[in-house]
Amino acid sequence: MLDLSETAAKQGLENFVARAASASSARIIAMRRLGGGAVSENWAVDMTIHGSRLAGEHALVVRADAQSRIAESLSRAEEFAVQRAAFLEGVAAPEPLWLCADSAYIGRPFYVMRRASGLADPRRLAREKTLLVSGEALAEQLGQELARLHSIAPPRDELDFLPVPDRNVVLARVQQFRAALDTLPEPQPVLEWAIRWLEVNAPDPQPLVLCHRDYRTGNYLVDEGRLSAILDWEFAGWSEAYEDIGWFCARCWRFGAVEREAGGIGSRAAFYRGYERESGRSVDAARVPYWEAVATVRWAVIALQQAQRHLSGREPSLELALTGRLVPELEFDLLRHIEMIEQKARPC
Amino acid sequence: MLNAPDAANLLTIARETLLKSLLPMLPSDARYPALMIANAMAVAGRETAQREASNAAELAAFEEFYGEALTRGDPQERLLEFNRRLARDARVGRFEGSGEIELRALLERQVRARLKVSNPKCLARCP
Repeated sequence: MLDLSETAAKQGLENFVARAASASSARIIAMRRLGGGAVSENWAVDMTIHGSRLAGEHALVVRADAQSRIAESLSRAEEFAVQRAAFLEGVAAPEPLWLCADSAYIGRPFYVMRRASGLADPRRLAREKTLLVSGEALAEQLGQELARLHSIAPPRDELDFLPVPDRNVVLARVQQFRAALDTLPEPQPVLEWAIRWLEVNAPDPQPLVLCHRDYRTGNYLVDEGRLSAILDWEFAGWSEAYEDIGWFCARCWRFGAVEREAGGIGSRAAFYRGYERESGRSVDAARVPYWEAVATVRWAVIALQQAQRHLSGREPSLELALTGRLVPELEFDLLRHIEMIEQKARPC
Repeated sequence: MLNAPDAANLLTIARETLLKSLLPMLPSDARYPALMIANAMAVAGRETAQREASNAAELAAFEEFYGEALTRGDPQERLLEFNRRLARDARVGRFEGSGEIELRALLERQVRARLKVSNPKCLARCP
């Protein structure tokens, strides 16, 4: 696997872009590695393209496989197809331009997209009010974008690689969580209890739609106070719309701003309002807390898996190690959150 | 073993040195890793100081919940065995109904004990 900063990889990238853009040549002007991305490596690349209808300078992002992959994540070719479907539907995803499934160019598959500008840092977005023109407007717009994504429903030929859950999505998740816990060395009684609760209290199934499955603060860019792009499509899949809504609103993704229940940046009401306006359907607010519990269990399971990547010795990392220590806080949330759901359901 | 200053003390002073003497001199892109190191040292320090008492209390809570004491293995092994049993029982809903209150109290107790080590600030917010 080549490092993208190596000369051979740079030449490979230039050759690929020239070919993909039907250009006489393409030259890299500047490039730098972008942060984030546990399962992918992202580079900001400025390029000049010559002799093509795309002639001129372009601000691009090259997204390639990282050293390690998570079993759950899509391949680069699949992610390209999902991002393209979302973009064509009018969702604010960066425009994906070209896919290179051939490892001959830079030693691994990658794709190229237009670069959106802005800040993704979730802690700063949740804490520094001056970064947003209006948290309420942003929450509303994020609701709207999500509803637009959810207008894509199966079957879709270009997305035929996405598995269609063959039964209630919740019960499929329950099975996946248990299978994941079974691969870990230590027992997890609190999570087992919460997963059992999800199983026993599973709501009626809802129609399947295209879900982002990591739609949260930290995975979109804000530029000059406004939404600029929705990123990180590698976990997308057919699911129930409420899985994305619950993930976005779950306490664990509010980055300390717990009172702003939509992603730590705005109110739930604003987020739902945007969703409802775009979809023409009302959000059943009573359904969301259940899916927030699903979100919290899912994040706890992922956190345990991250810690295991460190513990196994394959990928020693302080960040991964500390992620494992987030789990008690998620369990504490779960105990409280499930009790709250039960209290609300109890007749007075 | 007599070794003063002990592990918890060493971690505390090492962390203070990192935060007070080193952190102000570090470039901005090194701040986040430095803060992660400080956090890891704080967690390790608390765990070292509390481990023995915390394990004994957890074992006692398990013995009370299951109404029996395990005899084989050291306390660490017995705790692992009890946790395995609890995880299996929770998965199949063994205590649903009449045992649910006790089960939740035990889980709550466990989580609080772990938070005391990993993130005591979270406990302070929700006493």
